[in-house]
Amino acid sequence: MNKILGNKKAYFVFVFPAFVIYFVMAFIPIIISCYYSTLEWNGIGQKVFVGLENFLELLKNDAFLSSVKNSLILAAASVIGQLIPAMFFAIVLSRNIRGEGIYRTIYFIPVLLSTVVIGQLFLKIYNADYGALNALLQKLGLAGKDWLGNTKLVLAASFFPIIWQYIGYHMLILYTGIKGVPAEIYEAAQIDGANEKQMAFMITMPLIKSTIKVSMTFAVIGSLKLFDLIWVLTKGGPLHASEVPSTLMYTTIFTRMEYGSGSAIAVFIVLECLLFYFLIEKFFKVDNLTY
Amino acid sequence: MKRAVLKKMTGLLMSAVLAASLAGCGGAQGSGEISAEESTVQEGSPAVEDNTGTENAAESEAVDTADGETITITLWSQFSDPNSTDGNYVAFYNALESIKTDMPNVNVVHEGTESESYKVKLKTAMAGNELPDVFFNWGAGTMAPYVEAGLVLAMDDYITDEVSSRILGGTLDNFTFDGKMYGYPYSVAVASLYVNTELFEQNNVKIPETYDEFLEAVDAFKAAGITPISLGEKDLWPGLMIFGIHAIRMAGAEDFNAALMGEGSYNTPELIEAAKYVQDLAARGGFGESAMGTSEDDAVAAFKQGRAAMMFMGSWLNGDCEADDAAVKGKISVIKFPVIEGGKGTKDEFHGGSGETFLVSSSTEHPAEAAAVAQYICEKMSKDQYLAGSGMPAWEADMGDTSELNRLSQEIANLTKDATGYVYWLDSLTGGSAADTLMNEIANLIAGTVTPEEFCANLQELNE
Repeated sequence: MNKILGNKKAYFVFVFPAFVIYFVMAFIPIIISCYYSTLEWNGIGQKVFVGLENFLELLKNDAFLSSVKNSLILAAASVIGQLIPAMFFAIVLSRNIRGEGIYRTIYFIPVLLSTVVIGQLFLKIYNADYGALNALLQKLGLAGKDWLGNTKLVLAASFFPIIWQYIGYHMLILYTGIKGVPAEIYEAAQIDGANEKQMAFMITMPLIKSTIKVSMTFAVIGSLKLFDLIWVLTKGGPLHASEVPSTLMYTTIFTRMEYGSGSAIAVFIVLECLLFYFLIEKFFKVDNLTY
Repeated sequence: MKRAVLKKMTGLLMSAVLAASLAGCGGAQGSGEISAEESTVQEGSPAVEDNTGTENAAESEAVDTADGETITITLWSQFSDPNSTDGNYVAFYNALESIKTDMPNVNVVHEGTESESYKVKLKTAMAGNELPDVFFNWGAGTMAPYVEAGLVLAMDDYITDEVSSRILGGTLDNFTFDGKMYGYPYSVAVASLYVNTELFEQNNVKIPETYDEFLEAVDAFKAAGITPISLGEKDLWPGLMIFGIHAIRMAGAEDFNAALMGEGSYNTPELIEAAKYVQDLAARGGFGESAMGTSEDDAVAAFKQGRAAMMFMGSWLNGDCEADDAAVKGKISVIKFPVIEGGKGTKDEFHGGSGETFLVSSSTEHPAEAAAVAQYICEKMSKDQYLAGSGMPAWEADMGDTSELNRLSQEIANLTKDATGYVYWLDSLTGGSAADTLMNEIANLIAGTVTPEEFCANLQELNE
C-alpha cells in the first residue's frame, strides 16, 4: 500500500481519466463561455468583439439585477429554511429513536423525486382555478390567490418547493456527520448531567462544524445556480418577478439569441459561486478534529 | 503546507464543477464547433446519414441500398409525434408516407423534435454548420438571421412558373428576402374571436359586433363569474395576439406592419390608443383573475371545458374545440374581432398569415432534390392540414369532398374570403431579441406596470 502511495506515477494513472473528463466537460466550457462573453453574437452570424461591454450592460439591466437579488434571497432562505430543520431532524434521528430508518427514508424521498415531477406537482397545488392550496383556503373561508401569477407572491411560492425538496438531503449529510461523533462523548456529558439541548448545542454542533460547512456550501451554491424548478414553475415570470440568473441566461441565449450577453451571465454565475465558496471557507475556519 | 494547498485546490475545483453545470450551453456551442470540423472532414461521403439521429430512422427503409440512384435527404421538423391528432402533424405524416411512392428515387430520413427543444437544436446545429438537407422553420424575423448568414438556399432556381401559379397570393411574403424566395408556404393560419355561444345564450349576452358590445359582453361575463376571455399570459406569446389585433384595428395592417418591420413608428396616437384599450380590457377583468399565472395549455383547457366565454386565438384551436372530449363541441362559433370606432383598421384586416415552411440548407449536396422534397411536402400539407381543420390552404387544390371538414375551419374560410390585409404573428415577424422585448412589454402592459405612452416609447427604441 505504502509502495503505491509513494509512487507518483500511480497517482497520475488513477487521476488522469477523471482529470481529462473534468477538463473537457467542465473547464473548457467555462473558458469558452468566457470567450463568448466578450462577443456580440447572435449564434450564427458575425462575431464582433466588444470587450467587457456585455458585463457593463448587465449592470444596467434591471431584469438581471433583480434576478441576482432573487438568487441571494434564495441563498439566505435556503440556509435558514433548509439547514435549521435539517439539523433538527438529524439530531432527533441520530438519538437512536424507534423507526430511525423509516423516518430517514421518508425525509429523503423528496430528494429522490425528479425536479420536474415536483414542479408539476406544485403547479397543480398552486393553480389558481383548481389548485389544492386554493381549495383548502376556500374551505377555511379564506380567499384563494393566484400564487404563481402574482408578482408579490410568486417568489415565496416558487422558493417553497425548492427549499422543501432539499431538507432531506441536508438532513442526511448532517445525520452522517453526527453518527461519526463517538458515543463516549455523549455518555460522559450525560454523567456530568447535560440535557439533550445542551448536548445538541455544545457537543454535536461544534463537533460537526466541517459537515455543516459542506451542507452550507451546497445550499448556497445550489441556490445561486438554480434553474430547473423555477423554469418548470414560472419560467422566471410574471414580469421577471421570479427570475434567477440562470433562467435569464437561458432566455437571453435561446429566445433573444444574444449569445454574448447570455455567456456574460454564465460567467457571472461562475464567479459568484466561487466568491461565495471562498466566503464560506473563510467564515468556517475548521480545525481538523480527531476523536 | 503543500497538502493544505492541494486541499484548497480540490475544494476550488469541486465548487467550480458545481458552478460549471451552468455553463452547459456554452459547452454545447463548443462541442458544436468541434463536430463542425468533423463534418467537413466527412464531406464528399455519399450519404449524409451521420447528420441524422437514429430515433426516426425507422421511417425509411434501406438507407444504403446498392442502387446508386437513391438519394438520401435528411429532414428535421418539429412534428415529433406521429400519433398526434393536431392537423399539421396529421398532414405532415401523410406527406412523409406518400413521398415514398411519389418520389421513389429519394429516401427521406425524418427526425422530429418537440417544438421548444427543436428551436434550441436548430440553433445549435446552425452554429455548428450541421444542418440537415431540409428543415422546418418559421418565416420573417425568425428566418432573417439564417438568410443573412447564407445558411439557406434560395428557391428561385428550382421553382417553375407552373408551380408558382398554384401558390396563393400573399403567402410568400414571410419567406422572401431581397426579392429571393426561400421557402414554400403550407398553411395560412388566422386568428379570430372564438365565442362560446352556449354561455352567451345562457347569460343573455349579445354576440358582439362592435367594440362597445364586446366590452359589454366582457362586463356581463365578469359579473356572472365567468372568465370573459381565456388568456394564457404565463407563456407570454398569447398576449402578443391580444395586442396585435387591437393594434391592427387601431392603426390598420399597413401602418402596424411598417412599425414592426422598423420602417414606421410605434409611437403613434393610434398605437398608444390600442395599448390603452388592451390595458383597459385587462383592468376591467377581461382576462379573469389569474391570466398572468395561467399557461396557454390551461387557458385552452378552460375554454374547452366551457369555463371561459371567449378566446382570441389562431385557427389551430379549431381541432381542440371540435374534439370529442371537448365540453364545448358544437357550441363554438368564430367571429371577426370587432372594429374599434375611430381606428384606421377595418373588419377585413386579420392577424395571422402564412409563416411556416420547410427550408433547404445551402450546404446540401443535393439542392435540386432537397428543393423538390420541400416543395412536395408543403403542397401536400397545404391540402391535408386544411382538411384536418388546422389552417387555410396556401396552394390551389381540388379539395374534393369537404363535408367532413372541421366546421370552424369552414367558418374561418368564409370570414377571410375578402381579407384586405394581414399582420403576421408578432414574435415570428420580429424574431430574436425584438420579439422577446415585445412579449415582455406587452406582459407589463397587461399587468398595468407601464402606461400606454411608456409602452409605445419603449417599443420605439427597437426601431432606433
